[in-house]
Amino acid sequence: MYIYFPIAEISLNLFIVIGLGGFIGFLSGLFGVGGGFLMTPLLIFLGIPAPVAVATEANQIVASSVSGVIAHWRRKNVDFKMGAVLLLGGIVGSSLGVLLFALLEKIGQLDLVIKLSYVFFLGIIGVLMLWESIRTYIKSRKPEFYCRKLHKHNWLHGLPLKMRFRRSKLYISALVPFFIAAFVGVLSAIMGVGGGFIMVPAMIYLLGMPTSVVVGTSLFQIIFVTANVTLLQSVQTQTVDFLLAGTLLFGAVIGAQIGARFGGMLRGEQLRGMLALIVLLVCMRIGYELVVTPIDLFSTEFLK
Amino acid sequence: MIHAHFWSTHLIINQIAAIFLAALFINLFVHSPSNAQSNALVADLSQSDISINTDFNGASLLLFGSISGEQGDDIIVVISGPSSEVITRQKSYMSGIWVNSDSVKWKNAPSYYQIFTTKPLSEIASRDVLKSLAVGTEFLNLRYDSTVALDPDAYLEWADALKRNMQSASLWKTNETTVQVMRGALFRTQVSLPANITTGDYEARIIHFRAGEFIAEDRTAIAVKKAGFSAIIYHLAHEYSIFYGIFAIAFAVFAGWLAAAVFSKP
Repeated sequence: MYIYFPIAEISLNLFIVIGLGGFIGFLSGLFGVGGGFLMTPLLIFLGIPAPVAVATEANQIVASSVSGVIAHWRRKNVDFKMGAVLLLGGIVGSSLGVLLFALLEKIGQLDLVIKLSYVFFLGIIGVLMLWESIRTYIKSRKPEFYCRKLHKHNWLHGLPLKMRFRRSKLYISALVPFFIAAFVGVLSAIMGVGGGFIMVPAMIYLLGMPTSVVVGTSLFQIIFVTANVTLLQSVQTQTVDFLLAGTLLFGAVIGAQIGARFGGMLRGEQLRGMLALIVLLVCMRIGYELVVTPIDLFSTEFLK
Repeated sequence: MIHAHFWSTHLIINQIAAIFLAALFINLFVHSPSNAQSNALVADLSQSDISINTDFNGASLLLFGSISGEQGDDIIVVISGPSSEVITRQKSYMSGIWVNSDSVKWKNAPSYYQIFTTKPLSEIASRDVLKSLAVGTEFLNLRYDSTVALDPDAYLEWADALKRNMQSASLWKTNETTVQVMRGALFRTQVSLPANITTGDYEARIIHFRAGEFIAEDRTAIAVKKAGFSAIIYHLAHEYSIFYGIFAIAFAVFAGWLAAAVFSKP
């Protein structure tokens, strides 16, 4: 059964789209990630124009983040004050990102920048995660006990405009989370991702936030960043396909619940190791497209 | 609201009408040979309005008609879609990766251009005749803006690239030997419009040839437009984009909340 998506202007098998949503939803529930970094490349691979894939995925991530944040909110794992600083940065960054997106599209380098960003960031995150999970796995075999500080202090903690974040047990300059969020916001708008896969490590390693509040707070700010991208892309490029987002969402919601149940059966470092391999696989797949000689050196697209 | 079921019924009715028309014309020509002297060419389509609704997956329609011809006459059908601005880009190898470098922006490329013929084009008429009738992608008279100076050779290379890309998107195509002519009087061909067609007004030109010479031409139109739910979404997204964006966000928030509410109950 085929369904015609009016903004993407493409006809796709309904079950493939729901299945794709379900599969990515399953992985996102299993690993506790948003899944945008898998969904957007797959949508482009299905033949959906890159601008539509990126903008529509932002719309879908709004829904998955809302449903995720509610669970964390119940467990009081959201630092709203930190979230507010992050979302200010995120909104500034993603607005710049949407402008940059339009500029890149105009000069014909959008696909290249999307692919390069994917290869670069997925490569780094994938390698770090794989390394970390292997290390944890080795350590877990020969247990050692050590005390460590709440977090390490570095030069980032010396900047002005200090604020106290009680739930995160931090007293740091608000500029640090602001700029991190702004940077991730730019990537979020260009890559069609929530940015959790960069935000979460940045919050743990750069800000030194406790792991318990990191995911909830990151999801909280992702809602606003992706909502901002959805609105700006709707107004600027009219590339948000509401029907496509809704169809993907339907599959993703169910997939995420099944994934979350499976996730409980596996150990943390095993999950992270598997996720790292998937991330690296996507990274290499996209990298391959950049390196391999195209079948046709020429490509043609319609201008609106 | 127009549904697929309706259209298929519609198609059958039209096919019946075509067969009826066929019978009528055969009678006419067999019994009154004097009419065969005129150059009457009449063509019609099984469907002249194509609606792109959410169940759209391309359309197939029947183009049929009659000629006052002889055994061995040829028909060329040219269907062209609304002309669009398209950009063709060339990739080049730069520091290990393939990057878009030069580009040519075509001002008036037809978004759809398909030719249907009774015989291979070269056997129907000479290149000069085809050129004078503007049949074929090489006679499209494309206007362009380019980042590089285009000498005639470079122009040909770029125009060829455009043609290749449009062909691989199934938008431009020459379907040789797809038109059937019966008894030199009736012709028919199946026209397929792929799912990725542009909306707008399409024109079908039906040209009658005999022994390489132009005999007659008829034109008919096809209107392709979005319809139903698909049209509503497209219209809202373009005309009320702020509200569309807000609505898309509100829907996502609601769906997320609903999912959390439904699945949190053990």
